[in-house]
Amino acid sequence: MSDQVQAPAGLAGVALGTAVLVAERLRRIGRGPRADEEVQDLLTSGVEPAPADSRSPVAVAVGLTQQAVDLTQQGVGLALRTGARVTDATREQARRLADATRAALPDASPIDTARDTVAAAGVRGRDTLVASRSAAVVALRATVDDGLGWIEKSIVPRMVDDLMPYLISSVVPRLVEGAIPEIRSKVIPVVIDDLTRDPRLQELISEQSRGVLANATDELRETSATADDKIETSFRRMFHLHHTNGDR
Amino acid sequence: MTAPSRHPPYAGLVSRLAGLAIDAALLAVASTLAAGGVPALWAALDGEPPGWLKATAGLIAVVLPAVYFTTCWWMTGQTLGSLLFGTVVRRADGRHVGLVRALLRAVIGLAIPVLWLIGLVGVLTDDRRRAWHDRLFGTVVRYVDRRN
Repeated sequence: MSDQVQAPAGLAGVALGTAVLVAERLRRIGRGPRADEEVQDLLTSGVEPAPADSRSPVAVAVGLTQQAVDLTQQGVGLALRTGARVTDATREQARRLADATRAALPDASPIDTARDTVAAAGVRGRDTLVASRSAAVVALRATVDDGLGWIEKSIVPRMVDDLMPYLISSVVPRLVEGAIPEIRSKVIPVVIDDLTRDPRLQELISEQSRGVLANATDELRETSATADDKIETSFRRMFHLHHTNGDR
Repeated sequence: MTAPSRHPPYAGLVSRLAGLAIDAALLAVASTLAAGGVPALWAALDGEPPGWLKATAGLIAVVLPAVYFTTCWWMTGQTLGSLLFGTVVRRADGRHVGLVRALLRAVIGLAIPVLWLIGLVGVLTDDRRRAWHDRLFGTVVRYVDRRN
């Protein structure tokens, strides 16, 4: 970027950069997804694109416009400074200005002078376009980020709060009502089929069944052994018999 | 093979009678099927069953209980009923019951069932809970500890 050229300040610069971005986008339409990805990368990564060609008509036009604006501003400033003195010294000033202009003009031909002017305008316009594009990317990103943040903080919670009763009372029941028959007819049979074929589940069921059977058998054996002891004790008490060994 | 800690090691009257009842019920069903089922099936398929079939079926029905008890006591010491109630027949010194001893124990018990049942009173009087036929054949009936 040339040193003497800076991005147009304020709204004009952002507008010019936005126009550049739109033009890039429009140029890439129809060139396939790869071009879209390149544009997306440029917009999101902050990487500055390759400088525009300084010989392009757009760059030259922008540069000439800036030079015209500068000259206009210089002319307006000069007019404001001189004021009423111009009327009296017009002739003298005109003469001196003509002499100075002639002295300042190079010896080159008018064609060369025009070519140099156009080249300088092209370089200046190219730099302006690049700088404006960068400024537009920054401004647009900041604007989008601010907008998204405001939406997240202000709009989304309020929308969720407002929608929640409606969702709970109307949408969810309808979803459940519509989904349950499908789940019952299509999903549950598949799940049951998978579960019944799962060897881990089969092993678990077998273990539990064996455990239940074993517990029942233990309970039965304990009950019968207790009955054995009670009957024997009652019988021995009735007939006044006593144990004679130490097995118990 | 030991008894639960809070019970003596020898099986008592209730466990033995309950196991015997289970075995008796199973044998009743099996003998009935053997004696009547096969001839009935023959009759349904081919008319009157031959005499040899009836005789064979009757013989199987008669022999089946003795074969059942003998085989169970000889092989494992446990019938299905005693397996359910956790008892096992062993010799007095703890060894397995031999084939001849098991056969005699079964035949005598099945031949004189009343005496067999009366002899169970000995379970209540003997310190090792032996019935009269246990003393006769040198056997004891113990509890089985499922944890071993």
